[in-house]
Amino acid sequence: MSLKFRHFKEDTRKLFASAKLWDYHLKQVEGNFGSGVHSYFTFLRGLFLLSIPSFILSFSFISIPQLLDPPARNHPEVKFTGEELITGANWFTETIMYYGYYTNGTIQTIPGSVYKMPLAYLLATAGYFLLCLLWLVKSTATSFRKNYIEAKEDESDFISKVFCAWDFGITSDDASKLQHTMISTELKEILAEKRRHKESRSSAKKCKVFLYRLVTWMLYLGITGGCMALVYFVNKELLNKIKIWGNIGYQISLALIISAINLVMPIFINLMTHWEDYKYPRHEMYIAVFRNFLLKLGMLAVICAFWTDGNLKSTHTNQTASCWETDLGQEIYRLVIIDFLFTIIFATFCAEFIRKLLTKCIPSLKLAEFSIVNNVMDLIYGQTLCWIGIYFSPLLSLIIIVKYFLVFYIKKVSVMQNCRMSTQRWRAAQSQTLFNAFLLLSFLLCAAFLCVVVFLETPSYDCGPYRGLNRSYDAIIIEFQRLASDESSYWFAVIMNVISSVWFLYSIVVVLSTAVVLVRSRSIGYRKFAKALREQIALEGQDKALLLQWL
Amino acid sequence: MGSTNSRLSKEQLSEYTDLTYFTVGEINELFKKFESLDKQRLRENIQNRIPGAKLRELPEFKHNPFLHRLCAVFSTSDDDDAEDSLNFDDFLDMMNALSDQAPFSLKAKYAFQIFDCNQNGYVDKEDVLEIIKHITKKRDGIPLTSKYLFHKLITNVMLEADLDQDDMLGPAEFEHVLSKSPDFMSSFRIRL
Repeated sequence: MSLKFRHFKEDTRKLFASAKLWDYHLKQVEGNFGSGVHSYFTFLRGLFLLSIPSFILSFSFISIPQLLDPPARNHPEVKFTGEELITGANWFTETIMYYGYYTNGTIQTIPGSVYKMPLAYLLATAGYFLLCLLWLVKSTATSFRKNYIEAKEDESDFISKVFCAWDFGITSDDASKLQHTMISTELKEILAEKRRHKESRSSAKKCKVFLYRLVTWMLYLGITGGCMALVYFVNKELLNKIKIWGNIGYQISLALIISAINLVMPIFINLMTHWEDYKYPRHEMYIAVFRNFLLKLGMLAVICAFWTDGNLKSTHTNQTASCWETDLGQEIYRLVIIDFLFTIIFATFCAEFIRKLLTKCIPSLKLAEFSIVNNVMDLIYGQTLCWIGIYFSPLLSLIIIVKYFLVFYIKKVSVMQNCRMSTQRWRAAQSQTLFNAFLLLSFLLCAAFLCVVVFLETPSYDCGPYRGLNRSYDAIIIEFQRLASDESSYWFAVIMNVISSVWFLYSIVVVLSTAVVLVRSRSIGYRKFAKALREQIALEGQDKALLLQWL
Repeated sequence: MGSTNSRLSKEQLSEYTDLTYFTVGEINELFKKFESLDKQRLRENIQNRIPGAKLRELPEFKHNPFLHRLCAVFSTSDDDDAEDSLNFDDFLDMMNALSDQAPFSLKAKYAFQIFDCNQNGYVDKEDVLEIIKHITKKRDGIPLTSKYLFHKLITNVMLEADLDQDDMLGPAEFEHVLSKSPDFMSSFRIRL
């Protein structure tokens, strides 16, 4: 039975393998730059493929039905000018692009069918998030399981550096020469590390290092707090000016400030982390990446908190305030576009292309190395923006698809022309786990924010599919109540009663906790068992040597 | 996705797809690559052998320091004069073991045979020395590390891997040690 299943799996895999996207480009990159840069492009491809079902879901279930029955526009005099592509405002404000345009009623253009827009909007978004969650959890769990085996300190792992060092995928001459040099440097390095590891730091040095770290953490928290406050004040100042349509300068200034901070601050943060003098360069990289990520998320959090603040929303008492969901959606759109432009202009064009031109004039300057970590974190940031924005701007997934498509080709051309291979060996497994973990973390934060918006925040009074309701979730509750009271779906009421009762949740929690405790004690038992077996093998080896001696 | 001008018969193709992890398209591509090395010889008989040294013309193997070990391990030739010549079956075997989809046990088994340079059934200190020399030498053959460093490296490797402390790594120990290195799967592969 299992053989048949394995055959079936193989056949389906072969079916899909023949339709792999961008395979030729990936192979070219791997041959010239090794598996590290290849993993960046595979990550990019994964995110691209993840955005496609998002677009399909949101377009077919939300946008197309609305297009069949377009509501009247409040500002019909505004025409399309080129500006909208950057600001996302003006003419775009009242199109299917944003939350505010969608109706809160039902669409009945096709006779006989009743299509409830509020339900569709929420369920399509929830469906996409569920899909993302499943995919992310699966990929993080598989890479964590594969790579958690590397329990000991990776810096003194001789086996890996001898038997697994040579990357069989390299095809270019320069890359292979570089690999030889790299491997011998690494081997010398780990021997030196081992010697150094034996000397521990003196307590005076430890004190000094502790003080340094305290100071840098304070400094970092100060910088992050400062940036977040800056974003808040700029947003507040520009609040009224943004709403004036056609004011492109004010509209994009917040996005420009945030992208500029994202470009410049990481340089300082990396320097700071370097001063802290960590024992292992890997730890330094983890901490620097974590700090940069936290800074970016912090600024995003300020924007989200700003727009969901109660004072800005239109309620039944104050009807002059505008649609906050649309405004937040526009802000995210601008962030996506400006971030994309900054990546292309600064990270790719300046850092890599101009540097290549400079190497012709200045002989001591070498070509840029493709910084895998920074680029992947940029991708994760872009995807975070997408996840936050998708609820407020259903067509954002289309923008993201186009963006990823362009980024792939631009980055690939830039890497092939302007970069050289990195001198440090790429630890594929651990970095993969790290990136998956960061992606999952940012996904959970976005999902948490959206849960707050759907379950707790009051929607705008006069726009969007939830106008007039106390909370967006009420649309679902109303539907459930309708189904429950409807006699033909009696079973539905029964299921709902069971699931929403306290005892059900309690029993789930108890079962899960028990499972966790059992699995943990089993893993402790296995570890002890493995240790005992290892000692047994050593003893048997000694026995064998002794017996051979006696012969 | 089979190409129209394939010289392999349908039964052969289906046999190959059953026995390996490749699709029909990939097998045809591999055959084209193999054929490009010596079209004349393969036109006479598809199962003719090509000497291992010729494989160096392929871009995937041009810079691989383990090529002669790969040919020696995968060659099924009985002829003493042409010990590392491969026919298409051997070539396919080799690419299959190095492919993306090959499972860990298959790769570990072949890696053991490849790294056993003196072919005594164990990976001992001599073999480790050979391997280190292969992966660190420059193109002109001058090694980059001194004798003392070699000795230290070998000692450390044995310390980590040799469980029964007999100064050699048997297949089980070798596989165990590779299973703890997550980079093995990603480095021991050649993509088509």
